[in-house]
Amino acid sequence: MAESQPPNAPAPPPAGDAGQAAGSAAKAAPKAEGNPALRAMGLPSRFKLPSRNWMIFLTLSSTFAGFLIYDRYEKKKIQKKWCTLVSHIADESLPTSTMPRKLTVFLSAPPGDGLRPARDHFNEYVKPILVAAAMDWDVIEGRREGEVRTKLAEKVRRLRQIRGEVAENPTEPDSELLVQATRQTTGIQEWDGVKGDLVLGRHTWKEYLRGLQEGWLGPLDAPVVPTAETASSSPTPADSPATDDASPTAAPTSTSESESTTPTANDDANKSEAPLEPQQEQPQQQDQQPEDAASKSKTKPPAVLTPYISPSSYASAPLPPSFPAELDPSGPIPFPHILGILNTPTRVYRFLTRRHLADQIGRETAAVVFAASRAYKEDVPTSPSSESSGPSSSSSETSASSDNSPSASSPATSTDAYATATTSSPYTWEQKSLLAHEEKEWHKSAHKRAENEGERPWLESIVLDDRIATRMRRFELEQDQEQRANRIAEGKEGVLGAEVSD
Amino acid sequence: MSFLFGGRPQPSSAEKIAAAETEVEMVSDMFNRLVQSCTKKCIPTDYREGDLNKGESVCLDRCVSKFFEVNVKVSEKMQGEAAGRAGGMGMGM
Amino acid sequence: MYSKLVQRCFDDCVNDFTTKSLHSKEEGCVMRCVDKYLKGSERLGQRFQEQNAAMMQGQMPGR
Repeated sequence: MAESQPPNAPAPPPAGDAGQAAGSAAKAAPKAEGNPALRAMGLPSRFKLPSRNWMIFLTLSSTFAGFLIYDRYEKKKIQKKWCTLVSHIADESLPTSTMPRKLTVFLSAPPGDGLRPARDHFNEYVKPILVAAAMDWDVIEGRREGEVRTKLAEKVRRLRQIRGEVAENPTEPDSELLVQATRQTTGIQEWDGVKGDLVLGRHTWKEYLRGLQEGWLGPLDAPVVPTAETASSSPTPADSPATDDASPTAAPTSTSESESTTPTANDDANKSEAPLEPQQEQPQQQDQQPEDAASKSKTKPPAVLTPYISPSSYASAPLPPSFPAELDPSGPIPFPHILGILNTPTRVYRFLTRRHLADQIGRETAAVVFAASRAYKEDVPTSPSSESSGPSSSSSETSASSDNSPSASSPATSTDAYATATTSSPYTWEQKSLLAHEEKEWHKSAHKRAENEGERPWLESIVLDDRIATRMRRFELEQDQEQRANRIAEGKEGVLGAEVSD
Repeated sequence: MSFLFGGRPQPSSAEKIAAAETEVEMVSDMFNRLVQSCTKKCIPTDYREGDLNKGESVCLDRCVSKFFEVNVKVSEKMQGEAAGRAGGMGMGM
Repeated sequence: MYSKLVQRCFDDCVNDFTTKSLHSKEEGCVMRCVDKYLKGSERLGQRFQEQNAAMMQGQMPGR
């Protein structure tokens, strides 16, 4: 009887009002009995599907939740994999009178945002692996553009002074120096291996390069205010031998001299566009310097100082005597950061695919932890030449892998490859193009130039001095470690040296 | 600790010695508490090997600096409270 | 100091009271415990000295 009613139900509605009412009453009756399919199979048919709108809502929300849960689960697995790869380092013994290896982490607020996103990025992606490997680290933070550069340059200058160079205004000793002095007297050794720098984001990377070059190639004292005295009699540090090149660099005010040095210093390929911008900045720097000199008289130094040396004068600056043969290796970490309501789809996509970022950053951080580094390449896709840099040498902590040559990506060429590379061929340094894709995502307020501004390291293209660039090294994960990580991900391997639990 | 010397005009040598003694006592007491707390927090109790490993060393280093920070912050707050209370009592009087 | 060391190592290592004298496992544990405790104290002492010196220097000029 129930089966006969549904075929009758469509027939009555076209009849009339009374007929319609009767028809709808007739239609209502079979629906109350439940799903006919379930009834046909003999299963209890008391349950109904929710309405169409509910179905849409539940489908959408559960797909979103599914993506999210899957992504976070995978991300946790991936981070666990990288942590397991490095955690054997935390179990190595350390003599009581030796300090652990201390990295330097450079954090800078991304353009258009504050420092918190940078800190959160570091805490979420980089810190777990550093903690798993028992690394110690020092953070250099920058809230505004130029702060990281200032702090890094100060640090390098302080290091130079410790190593013996004499400056007119030596920096005052602070608590950090005191602690180091106490350590020296008590006979505590610092870590004698590779240390390393971790740089988060393209903006920080640019400031890092600038600060590094400013610290090593610039003078130890601040450049003088141009109106106070004549340009050439600026106080130069006592280290530079008979050359007069130090004075033009110490006083970037003498624009004519630096203009004359730039044509001669045009070894670097991409310098053609760079000198134009810094020279525009120099008249603005002159205006800034009286302000800076006045502000320095306050008790606290300003967060962003004018650079002691401008990028156009890098090539003419002499190398200080305490310049090491190799600078500390660096590890640039991607820091994707995008703002804006129209970018919401991109942001949602990134929110749901954080596992890829975790994998990438985990790899970079593991490379930093293993201290396996290679020299930066000099050729980057513009020319398919074979001018890659010298042999990549690893200085890894684990003695077992010290014989392996790392980084299968860079072909091991002869040592004099880079010597021939200082010609006019259109090659660029690898450092210039690293993380370059992040610049497109910067907020538009970063590109606005205000009146009378100092230099903008974020907006200017990277100027690299060859002497510094050849001495920089990059952390890169070795092939066998990469394979070990893959095996850990598949579950075939665990922590190195750990006991197997039964 | 140095606030002991704050208000007095000319402490005699005996008072100075006594003050120095109390200071030494306080320092050694602080050290003992530090050792106790940091060992409890940082060194696991299974004693698998006799050497400190890197994780434990880093943990101990950080434990000491945090302990000192806590010490400084607590003493600042106490000083602030004491000053506030003294000022309040002076006002009330 | 010594008594604290003894107490700590005893608390952590000796948990089985079915025998009258120490197990070899417990003995090894106690040896390692002493080692670790002494090294830990040494390291803590070094850090303490540095930080104390820094703090005293900071306080002395009356800042």
